[in-house]
This record gives sequence, C-alpha cells and structure tokens, in this order.
Amino acid sequence: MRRLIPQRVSLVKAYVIFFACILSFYTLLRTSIVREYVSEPLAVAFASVSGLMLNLLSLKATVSGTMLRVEGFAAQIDDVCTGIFVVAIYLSAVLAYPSRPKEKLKGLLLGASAILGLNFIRVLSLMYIGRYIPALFETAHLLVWQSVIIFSALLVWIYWTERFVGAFQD
Amino acid sequence: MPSKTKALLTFAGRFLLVFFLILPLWFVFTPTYNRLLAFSANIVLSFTEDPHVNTLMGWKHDILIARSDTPLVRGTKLQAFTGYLTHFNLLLMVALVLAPRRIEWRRRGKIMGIALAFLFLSHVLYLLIGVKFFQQPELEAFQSPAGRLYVWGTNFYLSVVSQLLPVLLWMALYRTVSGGPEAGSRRLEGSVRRWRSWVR
Repeated sequence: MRRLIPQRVSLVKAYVIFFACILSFYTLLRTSIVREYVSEPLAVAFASVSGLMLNLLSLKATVSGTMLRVEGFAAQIDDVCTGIFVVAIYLSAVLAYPSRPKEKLKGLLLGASAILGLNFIRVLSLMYIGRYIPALFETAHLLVWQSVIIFSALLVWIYWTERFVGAFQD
Repeated sequence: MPSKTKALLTFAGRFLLVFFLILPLWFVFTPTYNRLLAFSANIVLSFTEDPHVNTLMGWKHDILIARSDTPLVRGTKLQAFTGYLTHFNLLLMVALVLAPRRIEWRRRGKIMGIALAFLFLSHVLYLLIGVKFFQQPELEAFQSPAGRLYVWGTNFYLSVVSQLLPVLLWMALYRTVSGGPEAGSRRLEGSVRRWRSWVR
C-alpha cells in the first residue's frame, strides 16, 4: 500500500504536466507568430508535396499556396489539416511520461514523423475521395480520418513506451 | 516481429474493424441521438432563460436552434450545430472500448456505460454553451471578452478536446473500473504502465 502512494503522486504529476503542455502548445499554435512561421509554411509544404504526389499518381493537380486542386475538386489545407495539433497532443504525452530526455527526443522524432506521414496519406486519400466519391468526403474528412489519426498517435505512444523507454529512476 | 509489436498491430486491426462496423450504425443512430441531445439541452435551457426563447431541434444530421421571438419566414437564416462535429467522438469511444481483447464483458459494459454517459453530458454542455453565444449576432459574440473566450473554447474543443476525450476516458476507466469482486481488490495494484497489458 505504501508503494502505491508514490505511484499515485507520479501519475497525478504526469496528468498535470500533460494538461499543462496541451494548453501551452495549443495557445502557442494559435499565436500569429507560430501561425506565420510554422503552421502556414507547413500547410504550404503539405499542399506542394501532395500536389507532386498526386501528379505522380496521375491525378492532375495544381497547387496555389495552401489550395490544392484536382479536376472537379479543390481543398484548402489549413493548420488543423496538417496534423500539427495531434503532434502537439502526442508531444504532451511524451513529455508527461516518466522517461529520460534522450528517450523523449526519440519519441518526438518517431511520433512526429509517423503522425505527419499518416496525415500526408490522409490528404492524398481525401483528394481522391473528393474527386471520385464527393458524397463521402465529409464523412472521411470529419469522421474517419480524425479518429484514425488520434488513434495512431495513441498507438505510436504505446509503441514508444514499450520499445524505447527503459526503467526510469526519479 | 516482437510479440509486443504484433500485439499492438492486432489491437490496431481490431480497432479499425470495430470502427468500420459501427460507422454505418452511427449514421442510422445520429438523427435519434440529435433529438435526444436537443431534448435534454432544452430541459436545462428552460431553467437558464427567462423568457425561454431558444429551442433546440434535432433535424436529420444537424441540431437546429429555433427562436420563439423571431418569426420563421422564407429566407430566415437558421443557426445549427453540425452533428458530425458535436458527437463524432462517440465512434472513437465505442471502438476503443470494444477493440481490446481479454476483458470480461461485464467490465466492458460498465466502462462503456460510464464513458457514453460522460460523453453525452459533454455534448449537452457543448450545445448549451453554444446556444448562449449563437443567440447573439456573430460579430457581437466575437467582440465581447466572453465571446472571444467562447470562440477560443470552441476551437480548443473541436481541434483538441473532442478527439482527446475518448482516449483519456478509455485510459482512465480501464485503470479504475473493476469487473467483479476479485478485480476490485486488485484495483489499486496498477502501476503507470499497467493499462498497457489490456490492449493485448
């Protein structure tokens, strides 16, 4: 029973860090500076690379800033669509989990690349759905992919705790 | 492939299977759930408004706001909540609860009941807060401090909390809800990592 008290304290500490990180990251991501220098360039990069990939996949695409167009369908990639908020949630979970700085860094690199990579697939698939099955676009965009992306963040986080985090000593 | 990775992939596969199986059901269920949400929010609204002018109505996949002091004529702009955005996290919640293996159904049922009740309350709260600000002209809502806080809160809810809530509930409930007397005695024995074993 005595052993449980420090465990509970560390659990509460982890939750406090987690929520504090989420609020901080969210507030930071909403500032005009971060929007201008991080979110917007990321959205432009997503649009450019997606346009390139769509052209390689023989769906003729044109890109103008964050606007992505294919024949009969166009979509604007805003900061929420880049997956940066899910990365922020994931990063908060990594920072809150008891582990060494080196392990946290590995977790950040692993998670951010996995989430952004999956989000890239999301953008491509949504352009195909918008072009060929527009009736399903809203469902895929707002229901399916949102849930899949957040679930993937959970999976990567579990994977990181299993494979990369050793026994942590306070 | 390490067994832990294999177990994680199995969990992911089961999650996707459950998710896509319940997706069509969610579409069938949404209009009814919208009406239930509107009905529940109306009960609370009647206590918070004097005179009671706002009424919520579930209409197909949306929840409309009707005002009794504004005549409904052709061309009237109706404010509405999109059902997708209000309660899409139900799907994530149900899939997370049903996906793990090796959990007795009684315990699973308890977790599902508590989680859905919690999400239902969060949906009603979201509607109630929304009505308070939708009833003002949009610009006014943006300009007042409370309006700006509402806009911030709505964006925070939609882009972070609504997605995160099922995951946090799932983790918290698997740690705390027991299935029976034996499991109850073991409830406090979990460590920070304990819940991970349940995904296998």
